[in-house]
Amino acid sequence: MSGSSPKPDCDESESSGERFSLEEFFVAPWGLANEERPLHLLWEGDIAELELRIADPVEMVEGYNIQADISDFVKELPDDEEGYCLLRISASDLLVPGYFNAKFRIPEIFENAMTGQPIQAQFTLKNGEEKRYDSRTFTIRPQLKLLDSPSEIELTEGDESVSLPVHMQYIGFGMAEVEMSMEGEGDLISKGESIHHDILRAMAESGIPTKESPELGPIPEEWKQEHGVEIPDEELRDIGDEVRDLAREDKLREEFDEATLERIVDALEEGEEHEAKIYDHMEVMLLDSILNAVDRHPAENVRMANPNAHLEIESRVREFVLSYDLKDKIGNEYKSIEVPINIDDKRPNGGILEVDVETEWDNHELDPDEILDQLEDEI
Amino acid sequence: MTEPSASATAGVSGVIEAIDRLKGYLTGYKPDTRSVTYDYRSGTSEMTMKITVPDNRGRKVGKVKIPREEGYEIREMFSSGDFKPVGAKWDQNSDYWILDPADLPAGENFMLRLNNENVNEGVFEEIIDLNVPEDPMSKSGVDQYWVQSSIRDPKTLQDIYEDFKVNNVDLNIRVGVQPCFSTGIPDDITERIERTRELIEASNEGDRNAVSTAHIRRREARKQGSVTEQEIASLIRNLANPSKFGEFISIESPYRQENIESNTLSDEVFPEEISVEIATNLDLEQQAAKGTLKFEKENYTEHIEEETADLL
Repeated sequence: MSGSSPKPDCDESESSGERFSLEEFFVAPWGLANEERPLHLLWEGDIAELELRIADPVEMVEGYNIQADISDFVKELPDDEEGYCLLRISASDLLVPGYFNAKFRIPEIFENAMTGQPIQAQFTLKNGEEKRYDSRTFTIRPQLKLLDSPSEIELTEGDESVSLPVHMQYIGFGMAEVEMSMEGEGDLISKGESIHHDILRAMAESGIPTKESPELGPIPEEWKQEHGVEIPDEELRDIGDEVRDLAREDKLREEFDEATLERIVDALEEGEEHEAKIYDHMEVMLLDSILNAVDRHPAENVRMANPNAHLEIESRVREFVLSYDLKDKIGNEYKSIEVPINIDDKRPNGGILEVDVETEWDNHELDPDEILDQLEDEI
Repeated sequence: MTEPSASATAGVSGVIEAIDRLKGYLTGYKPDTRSVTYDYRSGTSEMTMKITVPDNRGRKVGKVKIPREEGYEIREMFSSGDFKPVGAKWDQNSDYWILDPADLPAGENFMLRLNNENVNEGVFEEIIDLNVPEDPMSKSGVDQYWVQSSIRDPKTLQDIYEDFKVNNVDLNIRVGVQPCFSTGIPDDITERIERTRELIEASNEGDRNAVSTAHIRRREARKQGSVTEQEIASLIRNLANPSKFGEFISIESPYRQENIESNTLSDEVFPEEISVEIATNLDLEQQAAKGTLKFEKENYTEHIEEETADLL
């Protein structure tokens, strides 16, 4: 037979009738809200019935090794029991004995970084004896906290750009996907979506691919000799192909004009001479992406969608709200952190103002065990 | 019937059909499936079938023919009593495997071992369920991922096979590593690359003054070391190489660590995630398996720090 070894005392269980042993009770120890999590039970011995109690809120997704849909096994709770989802499965509902497996979801965005829910499995043996086993699952989430930020920006004569230092803290669990957005009159302009996007922008700005301005933006000879950047041709070609594909995408039409994009696509497809120039620049831009990667992960568990964002605001605007929108890896949306800023514009002539948002991140790692101790009482 | 188990049955029914057809070719010899082993990774299966060939004049009646297009390969045939191989009694041409029962030695019962090299991938997905969490839990600098795999529909499988076994159930865990690089690369290195960026920007703008200022700043930054930015970039990419990364990964039984892959340069210079492939076996006694994968993130980050600091 198979490689697994059944426990010896369970092997001869047939004659003794009520011998029972639980081999494994697994519940996904943690997961994000709405993430599908598995649980399974493996046991030896005859049972009359299996009951599972999972604390609300919970949604059963599917079950394996049962005769019908998992929802058919969700039972009405007795009056004295509340706050549980009760699953009752009799031995005859199981397709093969000794195994049950289910998937569930916790459909709730909690406030706390970690929220536990107990899960109890209860086996009723043929002689009426009950065996209970406890487990639990934790719903984790990333959290952000605003530590410090100015509430006002003061502008004096000659100011065209200011920096806005914001001090944020990451707490909680799991990767935080953060995107800055802005409410009020003005534009949030972000840089650095991907390395290909960066290269494309640099190309468009430099005018390198244009035939009209072949002299624009050459890298100084002296520096070229000295920098020694060499990235294998093959990799450069691949990047070139990606940039070309990107340049064909519709979504870029807002940022770049049609003619520029066409010229870049053409230049990348053209002969050796043009390629050489373009690929020369790509080499150094590749290094740039190292910096982007650093920018995009400002803290251990934070990934910024727009790390180098800055704001452009017209002079008449007196206030705006910068907000840090938070999602997790599977797209659950959490409450945004809002930073209201007033502008005190003392400039006589006004003008467009550029605001560079400089976010400093603290990473506050939580110890899961510490939180577990705190949760013990709650559960 | 639930949606998933209905489709699971559909997947399994494909297996049943294939076996039924195989049995059809062996009609008259009481074919009896004895065991089927699936290898999830290689997409192959091996099955053992018992056939009964009465040792009488009937043997002369006809030949057994199995179309090669079924994908089976006859690996072995042996007497079921003494397990003695009966040798190459099977012939093959371009279309069929052919057995002439008249060539068989004395005895009635034979075991036939067949391989199928092209099992439909979908079959595996219908049979096996694999789970890992989106986010690891970090403790003392170690990222932990729970791992679970299970057989979806053991009953149908049990009905088909006396012994059913799935080998090498592979799970891919994407281990997030980019933060290790972001935090592991010393500021001086970052600064040097930053200076290069300034120079590129200045040269792209065609501003002579800016170029020369950036150039001086960059030279200042480079004084501390003799390596080029290219060396920095290639070192960083080397750090993500699978064999080195593997030293920081561990997985507990019943799982085993298999391949590690990183798709460096697909979008970034550093990999965002490195894919770790782990495997386990499942069968009708062990319908489900759990485990934990550990990634020593802090040590890996320190390793990156040390390696890149040497550049300075």
